Amino acid sequence: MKTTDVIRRAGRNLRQAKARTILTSLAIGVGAFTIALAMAAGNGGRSYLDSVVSGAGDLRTIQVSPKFDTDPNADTKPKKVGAEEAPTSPSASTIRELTPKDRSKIAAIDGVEKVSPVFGVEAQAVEANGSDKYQGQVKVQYDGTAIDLTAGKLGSNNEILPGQIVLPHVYLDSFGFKNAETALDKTVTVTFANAFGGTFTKEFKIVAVDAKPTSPLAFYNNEFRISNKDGEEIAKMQRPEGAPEGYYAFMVTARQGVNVDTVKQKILDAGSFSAMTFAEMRTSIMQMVNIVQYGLMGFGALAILASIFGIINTQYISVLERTQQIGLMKALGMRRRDVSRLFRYEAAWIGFLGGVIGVVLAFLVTLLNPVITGAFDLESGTELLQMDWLMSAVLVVGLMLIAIISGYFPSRKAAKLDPIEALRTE
Amino acid sequence: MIEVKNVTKTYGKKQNAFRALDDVSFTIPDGASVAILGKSGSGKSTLMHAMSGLDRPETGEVLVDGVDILKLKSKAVDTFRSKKIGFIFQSFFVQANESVYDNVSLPLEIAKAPKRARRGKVMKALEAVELDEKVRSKARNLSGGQKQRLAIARAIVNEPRIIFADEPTGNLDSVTGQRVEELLFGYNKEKGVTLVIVTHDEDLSTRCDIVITVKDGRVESISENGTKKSVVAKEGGRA
Repeated sequence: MKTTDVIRRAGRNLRQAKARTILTSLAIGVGAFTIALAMAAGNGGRSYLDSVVSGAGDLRTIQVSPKFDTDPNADTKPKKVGAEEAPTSPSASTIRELTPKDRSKIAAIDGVEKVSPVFGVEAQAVEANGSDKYQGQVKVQYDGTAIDLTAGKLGSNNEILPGQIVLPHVYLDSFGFKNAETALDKTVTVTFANAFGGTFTKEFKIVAVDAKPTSPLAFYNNEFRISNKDGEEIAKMQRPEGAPEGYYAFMVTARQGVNVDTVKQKILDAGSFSAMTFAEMRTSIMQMVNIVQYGLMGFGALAILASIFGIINTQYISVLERTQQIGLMKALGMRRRDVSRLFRYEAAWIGFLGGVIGVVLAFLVTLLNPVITGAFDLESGTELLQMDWLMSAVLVVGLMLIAIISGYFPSRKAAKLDPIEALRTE
Repeated sequence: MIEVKNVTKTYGKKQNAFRALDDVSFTIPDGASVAILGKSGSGKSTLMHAMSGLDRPETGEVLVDGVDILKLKSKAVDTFRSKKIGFIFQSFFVQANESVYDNVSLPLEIAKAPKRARRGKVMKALEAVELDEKVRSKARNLSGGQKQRLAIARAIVNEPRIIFADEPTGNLDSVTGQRVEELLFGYNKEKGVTLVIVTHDEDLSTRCDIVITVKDGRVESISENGTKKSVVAKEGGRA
């Protein structure tokens, strides 16, 4: 028998047992739906996080912090008072701050463009254009993370130069600026506290005005952004007298065109540092999405495993019901191989139907994206569920194969039927 | 030509062994109409199964056009059945859920007939049994007589050399049975196709050229054109 004829007859046989076919397919459909939806959620989740994360960092950035040393041989048991050795640190680990020496060491590494220490500076008041004094937060720039702007322009790699400031758009009204354009090149005066309980002021020129971020996960704060150099200067003024110059972390920017991982390795080799590239930070976040996705897909796979027994059962019943038909076909000269194929193709049709049902249902759920976006209060237009059509096609084909394998035993039973016996069956 | 030589078929083993066919031999010339006559349990159906390649007796030969079908591989026997043989059964075995057209096209699909040639052949077969107007109907909507005519169309669609009919009128009333008989014998005469009818109906058997009477697995007598010749007498008391 020709393959096309077998496929056609298989399809027709299924149509004649509609309820049974649909019920069996639905069982597979549940699994297919779960898997397709998991893939859609993983896809959407990854692309959403990607858009959020890329706004939060620069791929050339390496975060360097002091190594958290743990001595594996350290004796952590409590010691009696008066014992030979006095107890040292209870955690047997040491935390140190990064020093200016570390900074110059890293800056000397080949491939490093810039080392920006991470500072926190505190402002007491901000004012501009003869306005009242307002509270405000100042953030020191330490890498080339993109900033959404409504007006103005930053240097290459989004750099803010010393003396410049990026104005948060929410201050436009308070400072009496008509719009973002008019604020450019105006002066903002910031009052800082110094280490002796007094204050000092510093003037900055508005180089740009930021914009409301497109994603709520971008951790947007109404911050005045200043250059790293200014930040360092202010931090020095605010440091209590006698306190050593130290930093919690450096943001190291690798030179354009240099492999970030190589630079990272060089930093690790240079001393007792721990380093993480931005790409690694992103990967570790993506890993969470992947784990959730694989978990969901696992449930889907279980549902499909259960539905395999459904297919086997359905096909066995089908063979029993159609004993006479099988007998006739064999009497008319149909080969065992073709009888077996007929039943396996029927199973394949069931798998195909189930897969399509699942994928279509999953697609219908992705149409609810606006509702989901609304429920999570995300930026409109965000799609947390994105169909992966290629993988969905692979899923459908995979289900057909699984169905064919499940249909093996029933189809073998059909092929082995003795036509004389089968025709005798009433 | 069909030559059956010393065919023996045994069911069961040792003490329970039962000889359904016991050293059966006869010859059927091409184009003949043959009745295999016998009561139920006489072995007439087993004989038909052996002659058509559905069953394999342990000993003996069944030569169809000089080829021993008992020695063929199962694939070759399947091909033999699909190309050379048509079957008609007492309980029709038409596929009730399928259309008349699909029922008749099944043997063509099994024989891998090219798609373009199929429609013409199916329609020709349906015209021969006067069912061409029902081509779109489902087989379940046909009457008993129509179903058996459909079965005849299915048997002749691939232009077989031999048609086996197992009690073809057994489930039909006499009027529709008569019509089915006319069709079968008409086709036999017109196309020169060998027709083998298995029956317990003596009236039906008298219409055939040759009547082979089977009893307890043995050929009791073979009569040609109404003149009865005893096999026992012919073969000198052996059988």
